[in-house]
Amino acid sequence: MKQKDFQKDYINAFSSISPTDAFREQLMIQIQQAQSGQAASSAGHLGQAPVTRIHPSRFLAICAYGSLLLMLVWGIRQLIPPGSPAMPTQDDPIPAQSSPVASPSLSASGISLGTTISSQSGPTLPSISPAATSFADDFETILYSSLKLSGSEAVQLPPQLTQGSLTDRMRPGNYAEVLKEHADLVVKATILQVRLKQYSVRFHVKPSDYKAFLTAEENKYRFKTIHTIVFEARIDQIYRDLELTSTGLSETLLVEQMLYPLDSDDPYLFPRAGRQYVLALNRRENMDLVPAAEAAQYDAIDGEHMAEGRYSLLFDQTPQIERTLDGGYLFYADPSVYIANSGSQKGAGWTALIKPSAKKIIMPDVTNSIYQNSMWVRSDAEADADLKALLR
Amino acid sequence: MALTLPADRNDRVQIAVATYLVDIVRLAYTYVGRIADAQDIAQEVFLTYLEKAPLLESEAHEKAWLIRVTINKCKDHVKSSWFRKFVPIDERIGYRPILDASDGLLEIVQALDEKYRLPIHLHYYEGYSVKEVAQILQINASTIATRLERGRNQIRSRLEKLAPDGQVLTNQNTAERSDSP
Repeated sequence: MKQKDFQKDYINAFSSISPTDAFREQLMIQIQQAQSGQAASSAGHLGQAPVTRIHPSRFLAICAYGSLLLMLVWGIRQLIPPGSPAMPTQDDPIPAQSSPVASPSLSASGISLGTTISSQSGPTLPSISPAATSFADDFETILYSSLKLSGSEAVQLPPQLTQGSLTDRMRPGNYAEVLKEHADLVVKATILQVRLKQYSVRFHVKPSDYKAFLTAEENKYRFKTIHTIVFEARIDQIYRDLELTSTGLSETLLVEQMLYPLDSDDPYLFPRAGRQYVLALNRRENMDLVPAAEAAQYDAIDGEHMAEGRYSLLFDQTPQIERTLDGGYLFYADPSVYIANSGSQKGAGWTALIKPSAKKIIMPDVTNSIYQNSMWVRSDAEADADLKALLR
Repeated sequence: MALTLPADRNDRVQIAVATYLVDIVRLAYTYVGRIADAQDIAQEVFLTYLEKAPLLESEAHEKAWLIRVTINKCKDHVKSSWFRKFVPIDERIGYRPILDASDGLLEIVQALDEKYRLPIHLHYYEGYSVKEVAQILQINASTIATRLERGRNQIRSRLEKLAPDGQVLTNQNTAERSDSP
């Protein structure tokens, strides 16, 4: 019997095994009840009286652990001398600032129902303070259309790149901190040309990865189209160059970036031809567009998959700092985003550039982008110096 | 009664029930061999999903998570003293409609050792590759490949015993045979 026939027969054999309609209906009801706060676990198994089954050995284990725990607590209490501040006795007064996060407060007349919240005890949660949430309201606003920018069209993405956006997952955190660690080259550059590029590759699937529902021939190869965006950029100013190569002013760089699915309005804020940007770059010799981890899953790869450009954007798929024609800087910053393990600077993007002189950008034309409410502009005299300090 | 999807599509547990209930019941059935038990296990799996609310990257991860939990629940179920003391009543007695011709294969699969049954089900029913089955069952991929091969051979030899004239029993010819006098 061929494998395909076997699979067909196997699936057919299971066609008679299905949950009953009554079971489906009751399961759905039980889940809805559990979601609405009713105790699902107390309902027992469907169609049966409520029964809680505990394995006898598990019950004995619970009893044993409970006894051990009680003995341990009793032992610790015996070891600590009476009057120790770590273990107050019933006669001790309750210290004024050692209350737990939420505990019954004591009054002269006994225990009241009110609760006290201590800000000095318990772990602090990574929450945004009320001050941070109303942060944006304190700034002057300006319409995107009133910014002085050279006119050029945003790049048009193929439809497959605007479905199932991954933009939200791509935000690399606090840009100033990331840049210090990872940027090879930071330049102010004029974009001469923007174009999209496609690479078609064919992977040779390892026999152990063959899917049962495909024939051997269908299993043999997997195909992938890689989309990239290529910028030709002329260097106008160098802020940082860790490579110490011959990169100089007026030299043209080829920056190539792999494109993942985006929100449909994201390209509106991405580099356009004829405009000037501050670009944080990484340099790679022979940049492979197929990640090593992905390549390792296959026996071989056919087709061109080495990037044309030798530079890639450090903050890809996000708006780069853009220079306006009147000398201002347009940038992305979202202080409401909490970045775990971040140092002194919180929030995503260029939050350190948000000073009282910053203006928040209003973009009525941008409705589907995570950047739509997080763009700012600085046109004050200190903007240039602040930027230089961050980019070194 | 047909299952209707909830109005709120974000309710992923209800969507998961609608999407995966049949597969989870069938997987549990391969392990415990009784549809009532398989339904109980499926119920526990979805309530666990609701309770734990795990962060999962995609639908594929969600299904793999449910499969993993189902296997664990099945193991717990089989190990329980209640299961071992239980005397099963043949489910055909007034409970389910009479099984169809393909039950020959189903019964043969059920008679296989558990170590063959699960890889065969995940590979041939769920369509997972050998490597994916290995990840779900947390067993070496080459071991899975061996078990699939041996499981298939056992099924083939038992099917051949059912069809002593050398004709391999498939769904179609099983039906034909049952029709013949």
